[in-house]
Amino acid sequence: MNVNPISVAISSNQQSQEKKGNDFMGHLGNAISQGLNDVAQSQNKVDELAAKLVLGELDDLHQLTIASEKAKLSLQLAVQVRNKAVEAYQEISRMQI
Amino acid sequence: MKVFSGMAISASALTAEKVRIDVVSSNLANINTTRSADGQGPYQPRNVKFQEILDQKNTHGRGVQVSSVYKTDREPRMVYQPEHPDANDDGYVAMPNIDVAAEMVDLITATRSYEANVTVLNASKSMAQKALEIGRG
Repeated sequence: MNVNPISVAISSNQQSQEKKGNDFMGHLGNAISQGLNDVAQSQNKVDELAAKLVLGELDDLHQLTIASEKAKLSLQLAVQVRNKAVEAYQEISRMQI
Repeated sequence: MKVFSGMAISASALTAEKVRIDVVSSNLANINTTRSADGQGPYQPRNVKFQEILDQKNTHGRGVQVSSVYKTDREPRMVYQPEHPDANDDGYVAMPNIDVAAEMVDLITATRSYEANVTVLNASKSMAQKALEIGRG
């Protein structure tokens, strides 16, 4: 499971956060980077639990399966949010002036 | 995230039922144990006590937890075996008073409860996935 592209996006987003002010785009960017942060964290948690399972230190097997389902759902939600944002942008760019 | 709160409740139930199954297996494994770990007498069968977890405002439940695993206090059953090293003066050995049928019923209820909670968990997951399909198409 490769989470490198998401963490690269977060670090570049955090660098440009100081430039954005209190305007709408600033809030939107913060919300999106927060959401991506949560998704990356849930993926990392699944990797941690899988490592524990391999070492034989995992208490309950259902912890791993539930965490992987949560990570999958979070990622699906993030993809849907991206789809909606891209659709909205395309709708606006199609407007004839 | 509040989206996953239902799944957290089912997860707590899965953990609690697993503890119950562990207790049943411990009771059945020690069915012939004449001396318990502290050496006081025969093995006393254990049982679990469940308790509801409440959230911070104590309004609605957040799942279940095992509040204690307690030793029952039953009279041991006496078996006549004079050559046993733990026999008392009359030749009787104190064996644990474990009812196998009752333990099997506990095992079956714990298993069915585990399966029911897994079904609930799958249902909450598919509800969340269906919500993501709003507006598709």
